Amino acid sequence: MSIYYANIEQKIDSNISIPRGVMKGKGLFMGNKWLDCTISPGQFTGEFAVQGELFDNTGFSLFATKEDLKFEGKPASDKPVSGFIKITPLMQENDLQLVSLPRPTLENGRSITVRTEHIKEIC
Amino acid sequence: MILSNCEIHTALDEGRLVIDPEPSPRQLTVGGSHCPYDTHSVDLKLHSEIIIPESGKFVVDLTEAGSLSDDLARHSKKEILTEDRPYKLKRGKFILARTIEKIALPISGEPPYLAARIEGKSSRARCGLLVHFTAPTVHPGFEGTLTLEIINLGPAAFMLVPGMYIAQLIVEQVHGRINQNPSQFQDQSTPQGHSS
Repeated sequence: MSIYYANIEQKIDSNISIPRGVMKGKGLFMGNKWLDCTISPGQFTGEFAVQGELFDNTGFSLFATKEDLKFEGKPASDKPVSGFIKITPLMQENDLQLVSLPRPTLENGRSITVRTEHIKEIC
Repeated sequence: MILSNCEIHTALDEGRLVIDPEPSPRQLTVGGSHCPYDTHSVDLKLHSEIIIPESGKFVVDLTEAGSLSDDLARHSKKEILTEDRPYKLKRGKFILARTIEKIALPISGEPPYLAARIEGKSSRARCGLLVHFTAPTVHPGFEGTLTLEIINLGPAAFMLVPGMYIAQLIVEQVHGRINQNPSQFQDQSTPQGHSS
């Protein structure tokens, strides 16, 4: 997947304008991190159904590839596994974080707001 | 601006467009195989893997956020086609499929960037076959195979054979700079997505 907002210098160099919301945001930081999620088999081979939680405790879901996920074991439809999905943080405010997912959610787009406590930094 | 076949070749050579495996041959040759490059499009092939959604057993409810991907996966069946065992798509039947080719429209370099649209082929359309509906757009920054929403609206069953040319890709140049993924946070000033 393409890396979004991975490096602000690269972004400025390439003349890609920064969304106004991001420019205004407090605590802007860059780099990929990982978000708690639950993973089960997807439809196509190499694809997984991913479920997670937004800041307001409602859910989101999407299909993602293995490269964008971290988990152990083999997810089964009757036995999902806990794991992480790669995200790109966009803007932080208090304990909330606006992040970009590698693919759009089925519910509403690619950018979602989650609680910071659900974000992990994994090497 | 839609790219001509020559401009598609240039974009492939420059890495602004990636189609993997790259369709070939680039030009017609006497006695050669089918050239997948039309004047301003490139044909894409059907992958062997198809998804057959189950019918009538669940309701897609977008208000039930958080479980849609799992629900869709649970209520569908996967089949692997071969040339010897193609799929007979009956009248009115709907399946999901994908292209063999992976498409990438990188936005890591300098503009101009490219976008694309997946379209059907007239020969298939004449048989009543739709290979996509409502979702033809391939956005700048996308990378992956293209999912095809295939339905047979024709009067007869249609045989889907893996490797067959199933769709065509129209490549366009995006004018100007882009806000990456702007739809979700353009003009907003809080993480919750509110505008000030």
